[in-house]
Amino acid sequence: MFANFKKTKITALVLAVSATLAPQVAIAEKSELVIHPKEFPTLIRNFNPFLTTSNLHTTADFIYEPLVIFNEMKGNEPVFRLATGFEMAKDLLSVTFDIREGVKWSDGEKFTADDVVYTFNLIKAKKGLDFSGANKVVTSVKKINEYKVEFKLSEPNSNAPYDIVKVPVVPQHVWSKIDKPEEFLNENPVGSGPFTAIETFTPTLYVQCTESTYWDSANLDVDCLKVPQIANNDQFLAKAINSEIDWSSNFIPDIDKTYASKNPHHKYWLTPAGTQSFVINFKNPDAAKNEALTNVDFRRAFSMAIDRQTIIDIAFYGAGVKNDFASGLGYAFESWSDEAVHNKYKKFNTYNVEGAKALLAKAGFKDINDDGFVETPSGKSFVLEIQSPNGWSDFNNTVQLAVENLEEVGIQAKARTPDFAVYNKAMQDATYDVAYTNYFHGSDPHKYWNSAYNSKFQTSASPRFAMHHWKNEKVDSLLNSFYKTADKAEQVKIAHQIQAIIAADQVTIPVMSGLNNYQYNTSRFTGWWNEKNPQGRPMSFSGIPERLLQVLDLKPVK
Amino acid sequence: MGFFLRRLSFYFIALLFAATLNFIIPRAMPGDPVTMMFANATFEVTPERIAAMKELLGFVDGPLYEQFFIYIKSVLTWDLGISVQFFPLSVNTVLGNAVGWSLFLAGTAVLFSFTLGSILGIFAAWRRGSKFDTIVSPGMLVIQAVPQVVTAMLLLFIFSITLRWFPTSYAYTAGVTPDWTSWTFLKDVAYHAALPLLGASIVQIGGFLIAMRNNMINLLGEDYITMAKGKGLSENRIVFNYAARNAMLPSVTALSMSLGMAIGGQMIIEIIFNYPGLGTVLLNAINARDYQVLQGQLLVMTLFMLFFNLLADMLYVLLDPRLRKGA
Amino acid sequence: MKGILNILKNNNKALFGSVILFMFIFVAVFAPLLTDHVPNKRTGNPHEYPSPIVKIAQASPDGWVAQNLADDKRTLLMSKKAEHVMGTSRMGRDIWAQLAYGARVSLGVGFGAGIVVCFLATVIGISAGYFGGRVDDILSAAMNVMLVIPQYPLLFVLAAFIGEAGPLTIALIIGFTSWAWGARVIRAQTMSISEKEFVKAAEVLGESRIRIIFVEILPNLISIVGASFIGSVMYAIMMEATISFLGLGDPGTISWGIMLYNVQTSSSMLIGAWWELLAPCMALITLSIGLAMLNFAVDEIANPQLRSNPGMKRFEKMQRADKKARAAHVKAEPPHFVGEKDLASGAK
Repeated sequence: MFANFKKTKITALVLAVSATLAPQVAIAEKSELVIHPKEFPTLIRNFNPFLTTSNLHTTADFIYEPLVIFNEMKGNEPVFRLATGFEMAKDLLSVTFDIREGVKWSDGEKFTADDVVYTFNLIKAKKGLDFSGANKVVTSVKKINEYKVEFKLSEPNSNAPYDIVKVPVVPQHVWSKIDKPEEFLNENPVGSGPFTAIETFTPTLYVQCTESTYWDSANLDVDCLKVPQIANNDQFLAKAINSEIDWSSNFIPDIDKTYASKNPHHKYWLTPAGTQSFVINFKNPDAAKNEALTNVDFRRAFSMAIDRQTIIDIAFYGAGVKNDFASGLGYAFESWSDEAVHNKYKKFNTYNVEGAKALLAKAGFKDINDDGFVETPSGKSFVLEIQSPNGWSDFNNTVQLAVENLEEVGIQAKARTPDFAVYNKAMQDATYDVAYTNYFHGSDPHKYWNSAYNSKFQTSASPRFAMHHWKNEKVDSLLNSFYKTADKAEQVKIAHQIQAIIAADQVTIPVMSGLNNYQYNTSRFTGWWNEKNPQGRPMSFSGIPERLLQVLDLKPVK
Repeated sequence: MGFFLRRLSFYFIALLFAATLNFIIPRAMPGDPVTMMFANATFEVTPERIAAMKELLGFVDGPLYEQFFIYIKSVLTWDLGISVQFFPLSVNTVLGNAVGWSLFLAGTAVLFSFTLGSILGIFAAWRRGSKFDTIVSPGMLVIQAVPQVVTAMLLLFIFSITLRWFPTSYAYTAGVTPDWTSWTFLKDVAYHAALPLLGASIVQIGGFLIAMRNNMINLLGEDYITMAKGKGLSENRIVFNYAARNAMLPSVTALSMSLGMAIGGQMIIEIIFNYPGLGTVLLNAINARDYQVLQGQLLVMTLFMLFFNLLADMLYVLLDPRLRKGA
Repeated sequence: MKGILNILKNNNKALFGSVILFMFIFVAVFAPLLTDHVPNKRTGNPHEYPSPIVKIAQASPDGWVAQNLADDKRTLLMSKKAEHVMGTSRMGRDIWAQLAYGARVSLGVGFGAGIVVCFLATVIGISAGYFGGRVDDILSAAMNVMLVIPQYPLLFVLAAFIGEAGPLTIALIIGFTSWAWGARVIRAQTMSISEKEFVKAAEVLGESRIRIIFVEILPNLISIVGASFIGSVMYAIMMEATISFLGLGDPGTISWGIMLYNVQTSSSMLIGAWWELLAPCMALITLSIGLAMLNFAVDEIANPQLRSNPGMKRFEKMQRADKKARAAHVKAEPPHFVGEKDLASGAK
């Protein structure tokens, strides 16, 4: 809009003036990939790989390369990086890693088993550095020879290598001289990854480049990563629309119109993400709400009232897939699903206003006082408060739409948006009514189900995911036994049993399987992963080690 | 001087009160910083990790009075602690840069509006009752009445987003190494500061204008001005040499106090334009529940208020001989 | 009543200000009658264009409006029903309905906080000014301390601490943190009035202190209290918008500040939904201007009274100039000057 304004002479004049005012940043010879991994209010020069909450998000993978990258999209297929292989013991109580020979730290020192042993002993000694919880999985580390390390595990665990490679290996010859590694800013990192030289650093932008010591430089065509400081999504959007960013994973509202249509080089690809559900509080202190929420028919009616497609279309601009699995499993894990169970409960997880009303009536929920909303079978009226964290706008919008849906079938509800900390606390203390949350998925359903339904995650220190406070010993023991076997057929069998129990009780109300955002710009680089070239999860943020593999696939446009 | 001692002791008490408030408010806030830290985590957060983080940050809960004395001691020794959000940086470091930019923005905005406001005020008083006076004087006050958040958003939307004449964020082009001796860099800073400056100034011009105008009008009725007129001095000379100079005095003290207030007042501008000042730091600290930074920030802002008030006191006494005698 | 009408007839500013204010009050009170849609439900597609724009664009697809204001074909298609006068928000809610219902909250917070501020300022100011001594020492110290604590950060932090601050909460925290400036002015004025003959005479006649305060002093403070009330209302409306915009308010309420917050969270400025930004901005601007005009009028109407006492003329003049300058600051800034008044009394 106002496009014509730009054509006036005054504008041209001002543009000319502002163009001379803005200094020209010298165009470097090197190919620079502009990546946006995370919003920061200001950039602090912190490349300590263990301080994951305050360090810069190009530290993992790009400065400290993982031993192995498990490609989640390809069923956790291992891509060997600083290790060349690993072997699980038969009893699943230990695992041995072979370290790649010829890898050098960026200061020229050799990368050996000593560094690995040193790192794991370091996080044992300084528990604050153990951000991934590896100490719980690994009990001890032993150097077998210069290029072989053995990890002893705390219990039989076929998933252990996955946890072990999350720990960034740091150089012993540098870190052993640091007094307080937990306060070390590591401003000039000595690393093993592709981009170890910090060439420019200002509070608004930094550039980290590759060095000749990098072991896999034959496969690397990107010279530098360039990271601008971006404080919030609006600022990101302004830059993305201007084609100032090559690689990002942010939410862009109405992406076709806002981003893709602005430039033929603007592309995006949405990949499956985790389930999003309404979590119901089974321990509500209010008698009326408790009566309603612990009634399985009420939960089913609630679920039938939810217009999932509209929520996806409006709150998420169509970026999502309906989830009608009462177990929350989602279509991404269809191969793990017992379709008989899925189909049996599907009707309770499909939008059906009349069905919801009928089910409510059948269960004894009637409007006694003629206020247009139902009362509990024992005649008490109630207003459900549905919470989502303040500022998570797509969640807030989802809840608003759900409230409208619920009122349509006669359930009185209200949207609440407390601060995340308050939201979280209410879930831990079981003082909320209903909450909307996302879940994280792994390459199999275990990560989701375990975090969402295992009662060991219902302590006061646990995250929000299992805070429905619903407990089932059978489910707990099935979840705990999942990784005690490495046999997939065996695991599927366990999965079916878990699915049946959760689905029968409609513990949570799944709404959709979200999609991961990912945008890329083909004007400066090609070789991006996309729907035609689905090599792995393409997101740019920390916690996606596959992003290193994608960088290796990129080629600068000549 | 007894007067100054009295003022100083009052400022000290005010500071202690503000410090106590700073201590209470963040502690009464629900939610702890570690939980907030993981709020937007894109990875699974295990309880072990939360416990580890708490250990790392040294969250040891002592009795409240003990915490309070430790806090007061740290205030007096200017050791404001470590930021949670930017661990392991100290609060001093986090606030350090922001203070500079805030002072720059506030200082420039106040000086600019003072100059412009005073000049307009002199003209308004000189041509009292003229069209200029009846339109501009209330006009500026009306503009000043518009909420800053609205002015800033409209400026951003029209000049940065739609017309793209000005940048949408930062204090200077990203990636440029600050070099205050380079003309190009200074131009860049000016270019980035233009809109925030405009937003911060608009709300102040009217105040200075009216103050100047009314002082002038009062002074123009004074005996010595009448005398000067009687002597046949030119009108220009009377207005600028006699009246304006004297009318400036109260405005100068107001100028000092405006500086103290402007730093707090322009926070919303900094936030909207992603200007790296204290406002941006405060909002982030609130969102991250970064107690230590919050406390430090409120303290620094209070100190600015006190400092500029003290400065105003001193200026007032210096500039007004009657008060000097009285004290 | 007749007196007020006369004032309005003779004072353009007062007339202009009152017309604007009453227009908003009218919209707020009759919101359900003036809107076809409810403000808190989805009644249309996301981000529909305002209906007049749609009609013009449909009528002349090559005109300026279609080229510049309604330049997105898909959005135009989605809003082809043209049912929303001011368009819809990201969530398909009617902007005009939100604006009308939002006026209730903005005005409510404004007047609510204004009343609290006025009440506190008057009670504290008169007590300090009239009783003097120990009472004055304590109350003045409290005022001065409140004045040097930076208001904006304090308000933001308080709002965040309370969490999802609803309109009532916002009004209360504004009220309880912003009384100090008004109290200062009222205290100074009370002090000068209590020195006057008619008060002294009343004291000699043995009238009760309460009676003196209500009958002799308070009526002489009406103009100051009035100006401070309007200033507080403006300040509170602005603060509600700011606090809500920052996401520290309750997004469930319908207010102009929350509308601005929604503009921010849905990136409406960047995706070109200009109507969503302009509506609350224009409402806030118009109302602020109206209130500023009223403030002028109160000043102008009040001043002749002040001039009535010849002996005090010069002092009154200075006071007035001073007050105007300060009132100017009160509007945009949290009122916390410390200095002149205090010095003036300290130097006696």
